[in-house]
Amino acid sequence: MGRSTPTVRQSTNSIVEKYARMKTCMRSTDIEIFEELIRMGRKHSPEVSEAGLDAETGFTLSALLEILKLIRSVSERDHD
Amino acid sequence: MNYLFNASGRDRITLWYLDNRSIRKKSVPNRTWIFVTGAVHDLEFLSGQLDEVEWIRYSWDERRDIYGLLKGIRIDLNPSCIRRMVEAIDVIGLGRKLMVYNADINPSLRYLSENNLTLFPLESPDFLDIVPEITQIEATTYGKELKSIVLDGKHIDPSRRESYAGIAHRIQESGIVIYGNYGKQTEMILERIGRMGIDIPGYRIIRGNSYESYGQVHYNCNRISMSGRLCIESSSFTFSEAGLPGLIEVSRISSVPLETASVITPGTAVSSMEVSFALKKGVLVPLYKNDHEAEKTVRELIATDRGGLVLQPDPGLYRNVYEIDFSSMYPSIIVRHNLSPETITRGVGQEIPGTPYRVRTDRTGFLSEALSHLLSRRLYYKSIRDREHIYAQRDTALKWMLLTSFGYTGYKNAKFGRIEVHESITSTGRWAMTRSMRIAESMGFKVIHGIVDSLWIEGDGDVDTLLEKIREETRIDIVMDGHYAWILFLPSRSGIGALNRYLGLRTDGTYKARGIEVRRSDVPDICRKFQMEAMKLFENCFTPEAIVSKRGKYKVLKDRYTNSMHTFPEEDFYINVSPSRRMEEYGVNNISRIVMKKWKSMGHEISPGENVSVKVVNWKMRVVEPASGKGSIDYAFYRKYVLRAFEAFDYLVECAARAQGSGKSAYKGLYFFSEN
Repeated sequence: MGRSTPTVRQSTNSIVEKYARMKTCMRSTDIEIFEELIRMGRKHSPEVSEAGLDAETGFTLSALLEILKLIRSVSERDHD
Repeated sequence: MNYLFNASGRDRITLWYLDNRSIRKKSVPNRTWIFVTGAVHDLEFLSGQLDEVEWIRYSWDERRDIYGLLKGIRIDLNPSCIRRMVEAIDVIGLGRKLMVYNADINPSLRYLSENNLTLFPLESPDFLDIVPEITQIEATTYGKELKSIVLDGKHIDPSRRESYAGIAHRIQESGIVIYGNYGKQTEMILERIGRMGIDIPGYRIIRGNSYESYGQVHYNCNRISMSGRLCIESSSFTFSEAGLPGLIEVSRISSVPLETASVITPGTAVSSMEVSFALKKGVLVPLYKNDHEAEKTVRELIATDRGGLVLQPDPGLYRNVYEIDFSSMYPSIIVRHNLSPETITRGVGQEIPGTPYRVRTDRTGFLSEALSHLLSRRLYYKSIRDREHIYAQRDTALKWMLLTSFGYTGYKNAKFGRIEVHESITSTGRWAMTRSMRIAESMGFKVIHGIVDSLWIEGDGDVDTLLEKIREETRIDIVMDGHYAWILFLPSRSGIGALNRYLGLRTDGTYKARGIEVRRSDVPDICRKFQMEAMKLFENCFTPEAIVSKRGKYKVLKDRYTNSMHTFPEEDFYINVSPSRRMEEYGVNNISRIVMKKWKSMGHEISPGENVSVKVVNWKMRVVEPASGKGSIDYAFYRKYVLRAFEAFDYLVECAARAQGSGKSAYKGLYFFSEN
């Protein structure tokens, strides 16, 4: 818990609130994927905090990391 | 035998001794002093002003605070005159030129500390406490009526005069009165005793108040202070957490009289203990702190202004998991890493990881020294807590004091706090956690989750060696808190793992649960009962296969709770409601507002933070009743609570089904379940 500056988790919540407004005009099939993307962006808050990154960059890196993990696990499954 | 158990008074201190179960009091004069420092010409001006007043005695003196030696003026006076003297000094020094020390210390605490006296002294920490005669009064009410009274564990009839005579008699012969006054019940009893003309010691009521702490609203109910007796309200924090032995331990450690110890927070108790330690060491205690936060860049602020490390778990079922815990992590960091306001510098000393600060190691810090006794005492009681319940209670009380000792370092008015110490502690804590994670990984473990001072790791490595390595590197004691056959981390509503909701079955057959209904006080008992029964059902299921094999029985259990709710006793549907604001501040007609409205109609206004037990009679019409009131249960309303209580165990069975046969964990990444 931060003393006077918001934590990365708190800042990420604000970002997610902002991004979530996109859903109002989004196709329902996209909404599901969009929500997955949001979850991906949230996932690495502790590491983002540790690195002292701004939450927006952290969100993007977190989502990218999870997407790469997903691609790798899918290709490993296909390989098996 | 003379056994000191209380001290009271100001200009004369009354020492309360226990002499073969009877109380003997000794009154002694209490002359004291304050110390003033500042620039020499300001002190000389003050000295000139003091010379104008004939009765003031003062002398030029040298004393030290935690930072070093100070030259100044020592003014001798009675404790009752300190306040007026400080006001005068403030005027003379224009409010900023003169620094005053030792001016706002509780007179009893100061007398005890300066004369090296201990309340409830123990020759050995293993010994039991010696206490005067105790009486305990508890009662329940409905509106303004007393429904039942329990005196010293025995039910007595609230409608009979003899009952009140009995209470008065017990109060007369007791030195400690423990009473419940959450619904003003003891006030009602005492009023009735007065109306009946029965003799009791004089008493006064101290009004309760609502307050906010760590984002939660709490309520201190009205307290009773009674002549010649120590009165302890049974819902007060330390008493309800650690009982009388815990409260006595707080009084003993902090030199705060027992009755005061029962109303202060553990944080204030730690602060008092530090003041007492300073007095014993001859260190000055500032009236107003002058060690403001040092200048720092925005980048430094963002980098250092952080709390403990909390990892993000993937929700799922993990097998063969160890929970390793740093023992009293933050106090240990303060003590072992010598963190104290005067040892943190920007220049010399050892680097503090993750901060621009350094710590001096050429002398022991005040805070480290003050807390080392508390820490070692707590670790001792922790090691013997299973031997006697009283040791466990002392351990609990000390645990709370240690927990708050860290928070106080960041509190702007803490006498011996400084924000840089607070930042250094959390930073060192994060460093210790990340180092431990790396050591664990290098030994073949997989880190599943971590919360501030605990890590959950999965694997077959040598845990004892791991703990030894972590201890060696971090200089903080770490122990294994549990070995789980499986542990289930639950998902949050957003789909990622919840940080603090889990259920684990240890290899010794015991459970650890956090954040689920069985641990929550704001759900009806029927939810807790369901989860207790579900835990019983799965208690010998150490493998996913065993969990899955109980699927049929689990379904029967759920059906019983959803289809036969009317067969459960009414008490199972009582809900504890604790409003967090005033009635008029609620924008929606939620249960808190409805309950406040109901209570108001019964002649009792609920204050924010106050806790009341209710049952919902008709939610559509927004009808609630006090737990002991009339009306039947609205089962439809309670259904949603019960369904929510199923979720954790539904998830357990789902994960077990995915993991069965593989001999591995089943956890959910973001897209699908993986096996590890």
